[in-house]
Amino acid sequence: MKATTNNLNEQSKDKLIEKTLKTCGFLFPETIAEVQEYERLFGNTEFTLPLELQDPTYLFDDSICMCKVDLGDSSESNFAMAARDGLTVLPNDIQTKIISNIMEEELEKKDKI
Amino acid sequence: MSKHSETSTASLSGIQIIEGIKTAKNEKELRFFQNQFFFKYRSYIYRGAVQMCLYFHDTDQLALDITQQTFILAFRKLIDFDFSSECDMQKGELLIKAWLGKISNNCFNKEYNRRKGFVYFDDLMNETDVSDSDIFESLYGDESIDVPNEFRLKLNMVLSSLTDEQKHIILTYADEGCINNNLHLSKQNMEMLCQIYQTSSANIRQIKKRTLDKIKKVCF
Repeated sequence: MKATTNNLNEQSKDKLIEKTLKTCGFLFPETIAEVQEYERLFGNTEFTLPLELQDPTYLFDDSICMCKVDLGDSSESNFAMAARDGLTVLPNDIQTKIISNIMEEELEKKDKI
Repeated sequence: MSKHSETSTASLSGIQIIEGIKTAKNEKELRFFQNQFFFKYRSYIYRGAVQMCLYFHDTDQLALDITQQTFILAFRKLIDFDFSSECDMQKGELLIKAWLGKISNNCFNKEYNRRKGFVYFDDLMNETDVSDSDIFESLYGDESIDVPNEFRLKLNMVLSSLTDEQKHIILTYADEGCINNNLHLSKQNMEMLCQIYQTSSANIRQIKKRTLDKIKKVCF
């Protein structure tokens, strides 16, 4: 049964207002519980996004991009292969390999726990 | 972006994508995972931003700006947070959304304040006294939420009757968790509000108090 707002002290009233603002769309939820409550209320329904959000190319615009992570000692052969093929996306077989590598690591982690 | 790349989002969890970003061996691999992260969370952020901006002027553009800035900042800050410590995948998703929510709230402040003429010298940089580990811990929160439906409806109603100034001030306080009269807004945000509304901090506190009283009168 949902709690009522009767007999709340001032501090509790303030907390309730803050939490409600963060779960009802006035602010973004910032804790796990708030996100859960927000999604319970508004669901996970996708909707039409504006043109600017159809693809993330704006993130990699040199004038604003600071999204590059320092790759450290990257394999020169990987760069060479990519440069030779001139691909803008990873080939499907490499994507599949990456996914299976991650899955294997996750399984190993779970086994250790 | 190929349809295959978009649909393969479903096979990777958010934590896996983040780990992929951090451990990418080359730029193409990095770009792949960054794209996956964007496709996975763009709807969540944009929808939240639209809701948040609904009662403000220029909703669509403001929401778009918040969404775009959120991802830019998220990719910069990812390196500072270790999400892999969360083994529960479902909880991990909520954790990432909570983290993105924090970033988005900050982006809202910056974008809205910029529209009000406030100048930021360090664009997109969040200056905070709180350490990254404290921020990460705060994402877990400390209590479950139990909001009566009637209360929610009343709060919606009274919020829609507030002026932009009142809304902005009360949301700034709420975002910092200091709506309570015994708590103080951060110096940074107080200075920002004073500059935007060309008034003193005492007046800002007064507006907050009156707005809060109005909310409580309707809701309780």
